[in-house]
This record gives sequence, structure tokens and C-alpha cells, in this order.
Amino acid sequence: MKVSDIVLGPIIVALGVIALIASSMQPRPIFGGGYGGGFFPAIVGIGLVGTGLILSWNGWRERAAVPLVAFESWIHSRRHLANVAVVIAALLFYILTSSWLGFIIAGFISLFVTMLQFTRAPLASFIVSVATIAVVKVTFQDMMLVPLPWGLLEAYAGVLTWR
Amino acid sequence: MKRLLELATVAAFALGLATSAASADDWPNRPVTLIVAAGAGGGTDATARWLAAGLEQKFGQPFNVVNRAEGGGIAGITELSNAKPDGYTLGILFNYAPFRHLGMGNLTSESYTPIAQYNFDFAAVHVKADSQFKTLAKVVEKLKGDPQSIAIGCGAVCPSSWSSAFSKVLIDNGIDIKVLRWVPSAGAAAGLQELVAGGVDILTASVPEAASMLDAGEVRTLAVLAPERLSAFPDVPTAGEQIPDAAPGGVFRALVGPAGLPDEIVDKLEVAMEEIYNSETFQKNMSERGFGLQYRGRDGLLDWMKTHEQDTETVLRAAGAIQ
Amino acid sequence: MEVIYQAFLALMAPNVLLVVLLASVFGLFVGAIPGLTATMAVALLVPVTFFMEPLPAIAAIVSASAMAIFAGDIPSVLLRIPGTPASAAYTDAAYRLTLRGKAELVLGVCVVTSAVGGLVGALFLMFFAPAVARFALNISSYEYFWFVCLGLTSAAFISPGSPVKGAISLLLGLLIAMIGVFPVTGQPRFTFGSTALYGGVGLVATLIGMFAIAEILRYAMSREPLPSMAKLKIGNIFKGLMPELWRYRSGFANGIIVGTGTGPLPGAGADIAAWISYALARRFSRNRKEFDDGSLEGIVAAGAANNASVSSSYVPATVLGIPGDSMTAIVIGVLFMKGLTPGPTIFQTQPTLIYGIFLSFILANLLMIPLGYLAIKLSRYILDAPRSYLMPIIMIFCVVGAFAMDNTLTAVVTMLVFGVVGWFMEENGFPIAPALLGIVLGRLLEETFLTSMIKAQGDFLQFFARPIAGTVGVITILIWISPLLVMLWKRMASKRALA
Repeated sequence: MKVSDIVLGPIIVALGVIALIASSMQPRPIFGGGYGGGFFPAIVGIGLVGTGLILSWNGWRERAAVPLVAFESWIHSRRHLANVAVVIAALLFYILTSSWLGFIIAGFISLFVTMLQFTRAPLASFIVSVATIAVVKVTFQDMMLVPLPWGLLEAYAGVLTWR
Repeated sequence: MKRLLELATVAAFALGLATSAASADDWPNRPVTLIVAAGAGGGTDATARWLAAGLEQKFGQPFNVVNRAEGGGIAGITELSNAKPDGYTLGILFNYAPFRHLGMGNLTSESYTPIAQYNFDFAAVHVKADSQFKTLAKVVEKLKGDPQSIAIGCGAVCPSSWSSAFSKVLIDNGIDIKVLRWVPSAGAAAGLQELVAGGVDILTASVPEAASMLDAGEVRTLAVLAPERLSAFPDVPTAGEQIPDAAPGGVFRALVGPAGLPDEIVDKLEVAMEEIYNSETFQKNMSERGFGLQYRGRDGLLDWMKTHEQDTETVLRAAGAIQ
Repeated sequence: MEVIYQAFLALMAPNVLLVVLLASVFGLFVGAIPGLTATMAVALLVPVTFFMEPLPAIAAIVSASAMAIFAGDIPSVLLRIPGTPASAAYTDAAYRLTLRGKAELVLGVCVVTSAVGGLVGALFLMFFAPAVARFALNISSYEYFWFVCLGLTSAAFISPGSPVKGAISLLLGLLIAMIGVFPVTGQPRFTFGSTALYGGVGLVATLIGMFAIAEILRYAMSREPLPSMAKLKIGNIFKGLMPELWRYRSGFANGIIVGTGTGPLPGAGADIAAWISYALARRFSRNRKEFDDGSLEGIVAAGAANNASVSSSYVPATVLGIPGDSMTAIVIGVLFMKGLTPGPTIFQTQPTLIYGIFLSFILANLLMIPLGYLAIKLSRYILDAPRSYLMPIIMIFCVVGAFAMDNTLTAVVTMLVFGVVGWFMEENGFPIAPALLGIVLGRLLEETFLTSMIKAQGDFLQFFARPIAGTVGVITILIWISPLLVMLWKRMASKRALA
């Protein structure tokens, strides 16, 4: 997805302006001779406004040659669109449900669905997903004590912990 | 496939509900999480792991230390206060009062169930080895005359727990801490580096934190803000020896749970904590590493937390952080 | 000498050797998996080392970290996903060579430069530690501010392409670094009232997102079949290696020097060492066109630099008890837990231990060649595995890796957001490296500048008042204005030619 500089430039300028406004709202520091939390962000904001303007100017000069937005061929393939959607959806699903479902269930669903979308092989995807989740669970949760969420399986945490 | 998953989820959920409804009587029947709002390998982490080992032995379930170091610990202790009060999430609490006044969260003694305090580290004031200052009294005298003449390292952000303790002494001596030159640093180690490099004139930090540099002869400790000399550092004088009625101050560490922890669980934990605290291994581990030993049960801890909140408010008000 | 021999014997005890071997394998595993980093490997070892004697405990951390930094190169070369942040600087260059069928040569270069870099760093540590530590004690926030500026300057040399877009990328990185707790007063800033953002935007999560998740997204939408993997068979990785290393010997030396030099600086880790040495290699490359098309030159330099800095970062940690980065901070903590206070006296009280630690660096870096060779051989199976299975598996490792840094789900959100951002930036010709450099150094830049201004009470001349600060400051400013000077010089020369 290529977006013309004529669109990106103003976005960067806007970001810089937001940074400037946000830094002006920072409280005055208790200590530190007047250099508060807004000092540095303001400098960065000015920089963004400046570079954004240059970018806009570049885009304006090339406005005839460069389309506003250009997509590569994946946008026309339903399968590839779905691929991208599934990756993002799988991660969102994990983020939203992992504390409730727990790593084992939420992780498995995210992994299995993504793999199924990529491979279109249900059985193989199922086996590989189960194996991967089992390996990750044992190595990280049980051996290295990473506190992956238990979620629904919390009551069985004692039984399911391999030591 | 989808239907199967749905079924499995529902079944698992139902089972989970059934078992987690079990009462506090058989606590703990599964691993307990111990939230430590500091990085792996630091002082808070070390003490927590000693406790965890002891608790694991007492209760026969793993007590897993979970490090949540982001944002100076505020994220970790906030999560602790929001955890379900079922006894399966406990944590280590330390000086929490400043966060509320600095605009982060609204944590008070009400946010937690106190269990037991096991540690208190006193703040100390350090100078570079070749500094002109030989005593803390001289520093205070100089600050009285010319408050801008000394750059004071906070050993963390300003105000830090260490600098707050020192501030208390200064306020009591009639010094306006608002006009002093407080210099922040990213932690005590970075503060020590500044001190030795000549970036600041004095530094507030605990004595064990400065121990390496003390040994190296790069740093001198003017005074520790403790009621009496530390057993691990008998050569370091106390502030009270130099300035009459200098208030002791520093950082406490305590085992707490989220607010509303059932009494039966707190009872069990308090008993266990007292035993662990008095055990030879724990005493040895703590004192060898220079951690200050101080025990308070749940009532004593609650009183202390209130004192801590008041003291913090006094200092921050004098600093101008609270209008 | 007697001490070193004693330390050698202590290290050669079978149980210590076993620990080193296991930790090495563990480090290789963690480093080679995208999403899991060297710092994480060390942090995960803490509970295990808790029950060990001091020497095996530290030797385990040493070997795991050294191996992880090297192993991070493997997925860079094979998948264009850096295994650890320290490999990010040269991931693109390495993958370009892989596409030309040179995977085995690149991997060979990575393992050898890593080992040699680490060894030189270790020798430096052994013989110069006290002297360097003493020098490092002169560095206050003024000096450090200029060092950070120099580091940021390398953003200008890192990536080819539009300078405006590079500058925007850097500024965005700096802006992201401003999120979190304001380092002077500890008040929250730009956190949108969310507790989750108090700790700032996690660098590791950002990096995993920008490289690994962005790569998974690119795979998901790529319609062209991947370059044939059959051509990428890995045979003898050491074949044809020596001539190449000799050809880039100056880059090799630059990497070792930069790495060894940045290691002891507080706050600068292996990733910064790699970036700076890569930028220097590009700046002084004889053939920048070839360099940008993908050449070994930058890889040789940065591959040596990151491992050299891992070794030398132990200088202030062991001599003064001051951590240079998050890994040595953990090491100090572990020593402390064992009742040992790092500092000059540890050389008198525990000489066997301290030289044992130094020797374990040498051992780990020597072990790196055979173990690295095995790891590379095994990683061949990565090439054989269909990416349609591999990519989702990497995705789940990224989720776990991002989570495990701070044990928070926020990191997974950060990872996803920056995955999409990274993909979009790359699509539109914004280089990613300056943004990452901005995120890494932004906080340090602000902290050192504001601390200095507070100390100087607003007098900017104080930034030049100390000898080291003044020198580095003048050099930095000269580098900044040098393009302008060159331009003026050329204009004057052409005028003179006309006249």
C-alpha cells in the first residue's frame, strides 16, 4: 500500500501539531529549573511539522506522477486479503481473550486458525498447533516460569503443571 | 470443528467455575502468584524470592514470582491492587504513597490487605571521597546559608523515596526544599556514577546500594537516616548523632494482598510470615546482604502505611507537588 | 597467573562445564527464535541460578547471553527476522545475500565474527577492566549527552533512501520514547490515563512487531512464490570465509573497537553497538552502492560489535557494581543475592570467582564456533519447513516473547500496533532503523540533557566545560555541520575554478 507524500506529509504535520499541543499541556515541573515534561516533545513536534511540510512539498511536486494511494496485487486476491485479516484477527483475538480463556486455549485458537488459513490442511494444522502449544507451554510456563495466563484452566493449574 | 471448540470451551468454563468456588479453607490448592513490581535480580526481587521459597515450604504449593518492573513499579502494584482477592495473587508492596500525588493511580492503604512487613532499608547521604563535606551537619548548615550551592542527587526520579527521607530532615531544620537543586538519575547506580564523576555534590541512596563504591574508596557515607547504626555498616554514623532529632526514613517492603482478602487466608499467611522472618536462613540472607530487618504484623503494617502516607504528603506539599 | 590458573580449574569442574553447556544451548534456542531476546534469556535464568554456586550461576548467564546474541543472526539470515534486537541492524543486508544464495557464507561470517568479537571483548575485560572502569567514572550526564548525540547521528548514516523520510522516522521514534514516566519528576506523560503505558512503549515489543509481525504480514500478502529454498542448502559454512574476512578487515576492526568501546558505557547495549558500527561501516565503505545492495561489509562489523560489547559491558559491572545495560543489571543482582558485592574489593576477596567469570566469557565464545555450527546445521530444517506452517508458529513465539519481557499483555498490543506501523513504513519508503534508534536513545537523550541543564542551572556552556564533554561535543557538532562545510568548500572551489 503506497500512499502519496501529498497525503503523508499533512499527516506528519498533524502529528507534530498534536505533539506540540500535548506538550503544552504538560504540568510545570516541581523541580528542575523550568524544564518540564513538555520541553523535549515540543522540539520533536517542531521537527515533525518541519519535515512534514518538506514531505508535503515533495508530494506536491510529484502530484502528477504519483497516485494518491496505490495497492499491490494482493488487494485483488480474496485469499491474500483474508490472510492479512486472519493474522491481525488472530492476534486481536489473543489480546482480547487470553486472560479469560488462558494461554492454552486462546493461543491454540489463534495459532490453529492462522495456520489453517495459510495451509488449508485441517488435520496437519491441528496436529502442529497442538504440538507447538504443548511445547511452548511446557518450556515457558513450566520450565522457565513465565506467568502465561491460565484463564479457564486456572483450577487445573496444579495438575497441568509439568515439573 | 467450530462447534466442537465451542462445546469444549463451555465445558471447561463450567468445570472451572465449579472448582474455583471452593472456599478459603483449603487455600492454597494451586500455585500462588507473587507480584514483584521490580526487575529480576534487584533487591526487592531477591527478598521476594527468599520469601517465596519459605512460603512454598510452608504451604506445599509453588509461589511464583512475577516481575512487573515497568514505570518504577507503579504498573505492578496497581495490578496487585486490582487482583481478585482469592489469595492466589499476593505481592510485595513498597513506598507507594508518592504515586497518587504524582498523578498515577489512586493507591492508598485501602487498596491492599496488609499481611506483614519484613524489611526496612534506611536512606543515607553519600558524598564523593574527596568531598569538602565531612558530616551531614555541615551539609545542612551550608544549605541553610545558600540553598542553591549544593546539587543533590535523588538516586532516582525526584522526589524519590531516598530524597523524600532526606527532605523530611531538611524541612524539620527549616530549609525550603522547593528551592534546592534536586538532580534526578535513572536509579541508584546511575546516581553513584554522577556523584563520582562530579556531577552532583551529595547523593541520597541506601547504604547497601553504595556498598561497592564505599569499598572502592570512591564514596563516603556521611550519615544513615536510621535510629541506630546498621549492623552491617557499623562505621557509618546515624543522622541523629549529628543533627538532633533527625527523622529516620527510607523504604519498607511488605507482603500484602489486594483489598478484601479473606481473614482465614491472612491469618495463615501472617503466622507463616512470622515463622519465615524469624527463621535462621531468612535472617542470615537478609543481614548478609545488608537488608534492614524489621517485622510488623498486619495491624502494625496498617498503622505504618498510614504514617507513610502522611509523611509523603508533608514532604510533597513542602516540595510544591501538592497545592 | 596463579589466580587465573585457579579460576581455570574452577571453571573446568564437570558440573560447571555442564551448566555452561546447557546454558549455551538454552541461549542459542532463545536467541534463534524470533521474539525471544538475550535479556529475556538472562532474566529467565535468574530463578534457576538462585540455587547455584556463584561461579556456575554467572557462567550460565554469560554463556547464555553470548550465545543468544550470536543466535539472533540465524533467523535474520534465513527469514529476515532478527532473533534479538542486536541483530536488527544488519538483518536486511544479511537477507539480501541469502536471496542471492549466499546464506552459508553469511552464517559463517556471523559465527566467526561473533566469536572473535566476543573473545577480544573478553580479553579486554580481563586485562583492562580496572583501568577502563576508572576512566568510566569520569563520565557524567554532560559527557553522556554528547555520546547519545553521536549515537543518534549514526541514524543519518544507517539507511539509504530519502533523508526526509529518515528524519521523520527518527522523530517518530523519539516521540514514542517520550511516552511513559517523565524521567525527571516521575510524573506520567502521554499515557492517556492508562496504567499500562506508565512503563513506556516496550522496545522489545516494538522491535518484535516491526520486524517479525511486519514480516508475517508481508508473507500473508505476498502473491509471488518465495525464492526457491532448494538453492539455499547449507553446506560448509566456513568455506571461502577467510578471504572475505580479510577483505573486510578494517570493518572487522571497526566493529570490534566500537563494540568493546560502547559496552562499558552505561545504558548502551549490544544493539546500539551493532547499529553504530554498521553506520560507521556504511559511512566509510569504499563502495556504498555495493554496500546498499547487500554486502558482507556491514555484517562483519556489526556482527563483531554486538558480541564484543556483551563482553566489555561487564567492565563497570564487575569493577564498580554499575550496570551498563539490563543484562549486567541482572548479573549484579545475582552476585548480590549470593552475598557478593561487585566492586574493586571483589578482585581481592574473590579473585578466583572474578577471573572465573572472565574465563567463562572466553570459554563461551570458543564454544560458540562448534555449537553455533551445529545450530546453523539444524536451522537448515527451518528452510525445509513450509513457511505456511512456520509463520504462524513464529507468530505465537512472538506473542509469548513480547509478553515475557514484562509479563504484561500490553506488550502484545504494542507488538501488533508496531507490526502494522512497521509494515506501513516499509511500504512507503520510511527506513525503520532510525525509528528504533530514536526509541532506544530518546529517553537517554532527554534524561541526560535535562539532568545536565538542572545541574548547570540553565547554562548551556557547561556542556563544554569538562575536558571529555568538550572534546566529544566539538566532534559531534563538527560531524553535524560537516555536510555544510563540504558544500561550502565545493562551491568555493568551483568558483575559483571558474575565475
